[in-house]
Amino acid sequence: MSELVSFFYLEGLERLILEVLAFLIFSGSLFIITLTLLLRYLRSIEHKRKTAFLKRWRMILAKSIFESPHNLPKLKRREIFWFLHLWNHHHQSLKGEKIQNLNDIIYKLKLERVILKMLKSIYTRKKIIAIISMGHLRNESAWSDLEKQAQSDNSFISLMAIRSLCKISVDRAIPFFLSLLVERDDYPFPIVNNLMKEIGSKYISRPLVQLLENGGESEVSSLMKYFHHVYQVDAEQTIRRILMNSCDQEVIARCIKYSNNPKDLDSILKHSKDSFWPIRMQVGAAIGRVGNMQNLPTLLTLIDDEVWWVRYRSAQALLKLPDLENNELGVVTTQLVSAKGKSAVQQVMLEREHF
Amino acid sequence: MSDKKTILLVEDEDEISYVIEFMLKREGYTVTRAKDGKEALDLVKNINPPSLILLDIMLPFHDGFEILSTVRKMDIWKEVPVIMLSAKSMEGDVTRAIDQGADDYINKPFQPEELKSRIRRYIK
Repeated sequence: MSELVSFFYLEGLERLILEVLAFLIFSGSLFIITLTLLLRYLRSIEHKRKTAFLKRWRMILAKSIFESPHNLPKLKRREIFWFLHLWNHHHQSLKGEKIQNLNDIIYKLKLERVILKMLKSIYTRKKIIAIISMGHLRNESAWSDLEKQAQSDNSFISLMAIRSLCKISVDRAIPFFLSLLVERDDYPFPIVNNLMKEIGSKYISRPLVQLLENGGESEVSSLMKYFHHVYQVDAEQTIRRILMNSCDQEVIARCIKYSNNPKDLDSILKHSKDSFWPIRMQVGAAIGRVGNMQNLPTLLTLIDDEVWWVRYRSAQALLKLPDLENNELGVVTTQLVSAKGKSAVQQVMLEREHF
Repeated sequence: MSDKKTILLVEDEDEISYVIEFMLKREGYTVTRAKDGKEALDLVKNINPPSLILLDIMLPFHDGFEILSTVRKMDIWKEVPVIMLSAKSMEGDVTRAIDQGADDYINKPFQPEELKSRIRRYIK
C-alpha cells in the first residue's frame, strides 16, 4: 500500500518512465484484444461463406451424378480450393460412367486452366490438390507437368503425381513409375505397395518382371520387395534366374520365398547353411512347399537352428512334408539334437490341433 | 407405409453421406443418419427398426462390427437387412462382417446404380 502511495509522489524521469510503461502495456493489451476479435470475426465470416458454399455445391455435385449439370452458379476465386476439395471427395467416393458428369462441371466452369496453374504453385497444398484433380480429370494435357511433379524431391508429391499419371494412362505411366522406383530410395514402402495394389497386378506384373530380367543387381534389390505383385505365371523364370545369379542376401531370401517349383529345390537347398537367418528360414519354409522326404535331414538341421524363426518355420514345414505319417513324426523328432528344436515341433503340433 | 422404406445410414464422412442420402431420398426412401458409432447405438436403442441399415465399418467410438453385433442381438432389429460399406483396401473385414450376420457389402468407391440395386434387393 505504501508503495502505491509512493508512486503518486514520484516526480521527474522516474514518473515519466512508469507512465510510458503503463501506456505501452495498456495499448498493447488493447491491440491484442482488438486483433483477437478481428480474427474471430474474419473466421466467422469465412465459416459462414464456407457453409453457404457447401450448401450450394454439395447439392449441385450430388445432382450432377444423376443428370447432366447445367446453369451452374459462378465460382468465386476464393471458393476454388474448397470446390476442388469437395469435387475430389466425390471422385474418391464414387465410380462408374456417371462420374464423367463431375468432370463436365470442371470444363463448364473453365477450371482446367486454373488447375494447371495450381500445379506450378509454390504452396504444397495447392499443388497436391491440383495433382489429384488432374488425375481424376484424366486430362492428357497435364502429362508433362505431372511428370515434372513426379520428379519432385518430395516423395509424397512425387507419388501423388505418379498416381495421377496412372489414372490418365496406366500403360504409359508404368515404365516411368518403375524407372523412378529404381532411382528413389525415399519412397515409403507402404505407399508404393498400396499404389501398386490400386493399379493392379494386371498392369504391374509383366513390366516389373521385364525390368527384373534385364536389370542389374541394384535394380533387382530395389524391385524385389514388390515381387508379390507379379503373377505366378510370370514369376517362375525370373525367380530362377535371379536365384542363380544374385549375391544380395535380401534378394535371395525373397526369391526363395516366392519359389513354388520343385525344379528349383536344388538351388534353394544350396542356401540352407547361409549366414543370413532369413534365408535359412525361407529354405525351411520352401521345403514344406516343394520338398519331399529326401530333404528331411536338411529340414531337421534347420529345426535345430539357433534362431527361433528358422526353427518355427522349419517345424511347420515338417508337418507339411508329403509321405510323413503322424506316427512317424515321433521317431523323426527323436533325431533332433536340441531341446529347442523338439519344443518347436511340439509347438506347431499343438497349433495344428487347436487352430 | 413410410416405415417400410426407412433406411438407417451409419456413415461418418459428410460428403459421402450427403450423396447417399440425396440418392436414397430421390428413390423415395426416408433416411435417418448416424454420424458415428455412439449415435448409431443410441438410434438402435431408441427408434423403430428401419427397413434396412447401411453400415460403414470404420466409425468413431464404436466400429461397424460392434453395431452389427448389437443389432443382431436385439429381438426387434435382428431381422433387419444390413449392407456393410467398406473401403476397398479393407476387403478382409467383409468376410468378418458376413460371418457376424451382415447380409451384403459394398466397396467404396461405389457405383450409385449398384448401391440402389442392392438396396432394392432387400426392400421390395
